[in-house]
Amino acid sequence: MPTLESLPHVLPEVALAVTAAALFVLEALWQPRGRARRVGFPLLALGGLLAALLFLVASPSSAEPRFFGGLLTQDPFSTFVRGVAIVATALAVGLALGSPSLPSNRRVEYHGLLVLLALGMCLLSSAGHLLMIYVAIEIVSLTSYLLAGFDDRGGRSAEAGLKYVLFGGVASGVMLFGFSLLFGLFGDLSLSGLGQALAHSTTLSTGAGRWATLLALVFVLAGLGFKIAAVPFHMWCPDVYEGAPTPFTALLSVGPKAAGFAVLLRFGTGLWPELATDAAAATSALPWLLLLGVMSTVTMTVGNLAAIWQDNLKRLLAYSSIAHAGYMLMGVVAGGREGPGAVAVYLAVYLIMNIGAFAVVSAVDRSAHSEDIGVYHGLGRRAPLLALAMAVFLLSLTGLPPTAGFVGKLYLFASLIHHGGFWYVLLAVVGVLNSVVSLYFYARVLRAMFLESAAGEPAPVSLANSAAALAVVLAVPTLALGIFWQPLAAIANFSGSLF
Amino acid sequence: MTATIFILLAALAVLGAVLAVLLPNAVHAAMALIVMLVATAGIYLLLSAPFVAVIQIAVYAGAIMVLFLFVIMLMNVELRIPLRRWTLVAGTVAGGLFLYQTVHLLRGVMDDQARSGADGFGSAHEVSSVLFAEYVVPFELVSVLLLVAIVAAVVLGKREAA
Repeated sequence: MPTLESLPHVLPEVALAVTAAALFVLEALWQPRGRARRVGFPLLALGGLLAALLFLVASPSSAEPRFFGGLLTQDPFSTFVRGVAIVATALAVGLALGSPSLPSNRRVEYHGLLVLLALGMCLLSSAGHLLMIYVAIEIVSLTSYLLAGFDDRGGRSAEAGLKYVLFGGVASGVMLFGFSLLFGLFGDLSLSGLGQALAHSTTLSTGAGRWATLLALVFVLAGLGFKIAAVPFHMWCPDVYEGAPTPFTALLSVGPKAAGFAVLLRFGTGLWPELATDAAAATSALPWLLLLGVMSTVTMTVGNLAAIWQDNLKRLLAYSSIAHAGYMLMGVVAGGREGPGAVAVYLAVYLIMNIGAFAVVSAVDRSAHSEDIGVYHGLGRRAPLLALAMAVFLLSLTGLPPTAGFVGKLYLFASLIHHGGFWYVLLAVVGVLNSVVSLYFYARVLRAMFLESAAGEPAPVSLANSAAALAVVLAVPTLALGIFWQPLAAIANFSGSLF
Repeated sequence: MTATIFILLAALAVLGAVLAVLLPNAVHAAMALIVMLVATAGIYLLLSAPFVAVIQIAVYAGAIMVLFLFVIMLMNVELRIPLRRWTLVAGTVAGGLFLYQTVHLLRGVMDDQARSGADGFGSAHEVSSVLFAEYVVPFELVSVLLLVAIVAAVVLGKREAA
């Protein structure tokens, strides 16, 4: 579809870009103080995000899914992930209200950058061209580096920002090298073109060609693995999550990950179109699936085992988010229609429960000024509502019924088992075993909150802030979706197809 | 005539490159690098690729060199860097390998045939029609990327308001 006719399909992105520009320009021209600054700008950002969401819901359906001459692809899966990215950003705006970890003189930039991050994530989830993928990844990365180092109290946040820049720079450089190898080998940058070239090219018939292709795939996987924080590209994750301002950590753990999974899925189905329809027939994609399968196994195992030793809640949640990337990779390996559907369901559930958990951490941090597990001792008595919400999120992250996390895991395991085959079922078994391990460290937090009593006279935890309110609000769907899961089933049906 | 100009430009380029490595003063070395880049731009002109020549001057001899000089001056780089023997040896080995590879590659291409593009290939018109028609979306998004970079610089430079 040519450029001008494509425009109605990217109205959400246009709305986001306009909102960000408006935020920056208004702050420069008007320089508001006091209430307008504290409330007005977040409201403007929320308004822009809401407009983008409405445009997304109302976006015209089109028989031709490729826009701008194949640069962007719109399919149900990308529409869904764009929605997840926008909602996650809106939640991060809500969490940031009154958060002490954001310096007051940088607040407007925080919101502008969040909106640009949402723009990057939307583009990333619908990019169907290597050039587009690269530009979108850089928009997401650059804003994330900056936002990770946003807190100017002490050096922890600056360290996080710097570490993220260094790791991210190397990862995107390696990925770009992979792209250039692919372009050199197959002479095309669009994913559909690469898919055709892979099917017909003689490159793969020589040994050297096969090795070069495999190398390119590994390099691309390194860049995308960095975005979803999969082992062995996860080293930045705990430090960055710990140092970054908590409202942004909540977004970082969900948004870029969702967009990364969208790219990963689209890259796979673009290069091997059989993956999208009949995963079992995609024998030519075996090296890619093997890489992803090994990555999935290692990621969940390392994430869960490392989380056991963490005493800082943000680090614990960081390792848990690594493990969850491993679970979601199972859906990517399963492929077909069920795999992406399961990943979409899990992303929806993960959005609610993980941002909810970080909201509790943010709420406790505001009173206790610490994320150490020690300050959670006796939280069940001091702030029962907050502790109850946290319990719901943790049970959901473990995947126990009757929470939404259980339904999400069920879909992921089911997609693998329905696919069949020894290795696929083995991967599902590894996933189940890992869920059991994860119960141990999530339960540690539960024990601290409800069974242990606080030493000394701890500061009372206030519920009158946006983080606590969001945590309590998010706990409701986490429980409700575990019992009435029709909405999740609808998501799985809707977003299973990728073009 | 063309051969004379080429030899002059090539000699200038080699001279600039050698000086850029050997001069102990970082600012002088950067200046020598400019000579090399401008001479290369002249060679592009000889090869009837005016667009590439202009880009070479604007981007490399202009923007990138200004960036180099800024970094040298702002970061207070040690201005006198003594040339150690092992760096010389390592550099010669790496450079020799690179030269070998380049010659090898070029000979492969030459043997094939001197491949020249279609009429107008690489001209400003061709480049811009690809950049602003086919790839206009990524082009615009790069400006978003630059906006993020500018905001980043401002935010990082901001001090706590008094």
